Amino acid sequence: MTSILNQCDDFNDDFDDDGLSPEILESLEATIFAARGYVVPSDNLRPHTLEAARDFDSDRRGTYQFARFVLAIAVCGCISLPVVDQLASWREKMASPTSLQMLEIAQKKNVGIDWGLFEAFSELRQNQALRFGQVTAKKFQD
Amino acid sequence: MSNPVSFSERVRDSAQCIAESGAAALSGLYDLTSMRLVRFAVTITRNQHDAEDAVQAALVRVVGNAKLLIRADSPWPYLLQMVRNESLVILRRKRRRAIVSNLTDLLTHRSVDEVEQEESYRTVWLAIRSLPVEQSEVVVLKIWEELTFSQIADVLGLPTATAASRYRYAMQKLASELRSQAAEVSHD
Repeated sequence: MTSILNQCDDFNDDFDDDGLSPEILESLEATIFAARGYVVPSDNLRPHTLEAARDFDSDRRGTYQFARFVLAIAVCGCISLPVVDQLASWREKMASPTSLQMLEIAQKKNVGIDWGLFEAFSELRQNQALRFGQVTAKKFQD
Repeated sequence: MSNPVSFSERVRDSAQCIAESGAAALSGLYDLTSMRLVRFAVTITRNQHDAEDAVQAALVRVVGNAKLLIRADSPWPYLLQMVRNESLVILRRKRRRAIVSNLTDLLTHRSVDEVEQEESYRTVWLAIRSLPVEQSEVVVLKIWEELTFSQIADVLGLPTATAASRYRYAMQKLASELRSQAAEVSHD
């Protein structure tokens, strides 16, 4: 405090409307600088801050994981929907004739149910081959 | 006096550790900066509790995006700016900006060999607290944080000339304040 008192006596001489002399300014700055460590953080600030940061980090990771999960579901959905549609269209083409269809073929061709089954499968294979373009209808008839 | 440039690089290194390891690495940045951040925040909030809240919020924000500090041209002034912003948010929320005429809300520290200096420190802190916030924060940044007026202007969002003039006015007031307080002591 003595140093401040001494400095303040000097201030009376050197302080005017235009400002402080460089020497007084330097002395004042040194006095203020020396007091920089007088106020300190409380002891519980450190654990509180670290705990808050950990909680924040944990929440953020949880949010990221959930977002990634939702994104993965969305991507899977976007990919699988066209595939499922495609498979559904193939299912109609690949499906075996039903009993009713076999019976209709047998009646149409005027044969027994056994031959109706054979005819139905023959017709099915022919249609499938035509659809896939693997075998021409002509070759199949030959 | 520490070199502000090297201190900034240490802050950047700590932020890099946080970016790599997450919240577990915050202790390094806390130990490096907390004391300085709290004393800066106290000059704005005028209250230790609010200042600590502001520092905590700013450091947690760093954990949220450490790259902000890593990519900053000057990480230390940038961190000070973050703390200032948090302090202003708290002030707006609490609408409390009264000038405090004592230090009872502050947690002070003195080492055994500084007992004689304590009265001097108290006088300085009281004088700083008697200043308007706009001036006291410039004084703190200039003298305690050793920033240039250009850096102070960046932190406070002011023209450099305004920062310099605020500093000049603040120092005149501080000189006057310290003189009057010294006169009171001499009369006592």
